[in-house]
Order: sequence, then C-alpha cells, then structure tokens
Amino acid sequence: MRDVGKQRQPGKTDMSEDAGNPALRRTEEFRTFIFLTVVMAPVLAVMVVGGYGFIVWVYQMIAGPPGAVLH
Amino acid sequence: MKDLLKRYWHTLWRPSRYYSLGLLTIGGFVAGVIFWGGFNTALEATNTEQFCTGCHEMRTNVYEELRGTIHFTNRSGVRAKCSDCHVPHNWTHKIARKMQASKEVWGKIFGTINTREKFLDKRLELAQREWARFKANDSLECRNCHELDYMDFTRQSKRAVDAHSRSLETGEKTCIDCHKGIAHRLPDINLTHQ
Repeated sequence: MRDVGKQRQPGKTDMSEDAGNPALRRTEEFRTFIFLTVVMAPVLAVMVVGGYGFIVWVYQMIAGPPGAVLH
Repeated sequence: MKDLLKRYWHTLWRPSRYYSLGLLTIGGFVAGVIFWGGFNTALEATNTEQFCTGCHEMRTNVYEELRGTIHFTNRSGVRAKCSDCHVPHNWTHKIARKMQASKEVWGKIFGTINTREKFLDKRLELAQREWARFKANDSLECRNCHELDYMDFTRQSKRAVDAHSRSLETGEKTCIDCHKGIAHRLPDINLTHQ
C-alpha cells in the first residue's frame, strides 16, 4: 500500500526492488493472481464452510438434533 | 526462499501494473462461478447412492436390507435413496451432517463396523441416534414425501386411519414413533437388556 503514493509521483523513479525487471514483475503478478483464484480462495471457502459445519455439529451435540420446521 | 515469499507477499498487496482491474475482477468472478459450481457438484456427488454404498459397511449391511423393502422396490417405481432420509435438505444441517461424516471416515479407517457382527452389535446405538434425530425434527425426511394433508384416509386400512387421526393429526406422535424398522431391519431389542 505504501508504494502506491510513490509510484504515482511523476518524475520519481519506482523504488521497488523489481523496477528494472518488468518481465519478472509481470510473472509475479500473474502467478499471484492464479494462486489466489485457483488455490487460496477455494481452499479458504471450503475451510470456512467446513468450519461452519463443525461448529453446527458441536452446537447440536449440546442442544440436541435440529428441531422441526413448522408445517 | 524467504526472499521469494517476501516478494510475492509484496506483490499481493500492491496494485497490479500489468493486469487491468477489469481482468482481475472478471477473472476472479469467473473463478468464483466455477468454484461454486464445482462445490455444489461435489456436494451432490456425496449424496448419491453410489457414493454411500462405496464402502462395504454400507453396501453389505444397510443397503442390502433396504433392497427388500417397499422404499426400494414397489409397483410405482418411486424409491428412496440413502440421502433422501439420512441427509437433511436444509443447507446448514446438510453441511453439519457432511462434517459428521468425518466420523464415518474415521470408523472406516479403524474398522469400527467392518464385520457383520460388529455392525449388529452397534446397530442399536446407530438406530437410536437416527430415531432421536427423526423424533426431534418431527420426521421431516418422511414428510418430504409423505404429507399428512394429502393422505386419502379412505384408501388406508382402518387401523392406519385410526392411528393417523388419533395420534398423527393431533401432533401427539410423529411418523418414526410407529414406523421404525421399515427401511432397514430393527436392532435386536434384547441387547437393551444386557
């Protein structure tokens, strides 16, 4: 986040470490995007849903099986 | 290695220079749609009979018994599969049930009921757990198909009409109170007295 301000200042050179290597930065950005969308977000989503299921299970162990829906 | 992680961590929190907001947003959205579809497909797959009877504990015990009952074979060809009765349809309860299945995986790995004898010994406990569940939710999984409001009492036997109007209609009893052991055999009741 702190880099944003720096990069937008005209006339100043980019101070980030890969400034001299656009290809590397492009690769890194691509890999980061793919990792986030294909690996991390799905894994997190499954963990959240699974965790929720376990919490409901523990709750049911205390409160008993789920009650009736009103017909 | 540490340097590499640091670089990617940095990339993670920095605006992209080479990929447009449009691409990243639409790309993320499309990935989300694919994930959601895949998630539901996987969830559905765990509800299939093929999946349930994939292990011999289910196939040779409870499934084999179901095959002889009216819930499996009958004149109209409508039948119940495992998940119709044993997996809640409500999403929260379904997810909780799927997580409870981790206990079944545990049992499979450690062979808790890997023989017929072990299954018969455990059967009462298993049945009681399921009966308690049906009792608590007012036999919801029965009622998903069998609706009291649409029962034609004139087509039922006298005994059934009496019981249904005396106990079911008044809410005093629920399906499972009388209809135990209809899709699988009853546990050996003598075990309770041991």
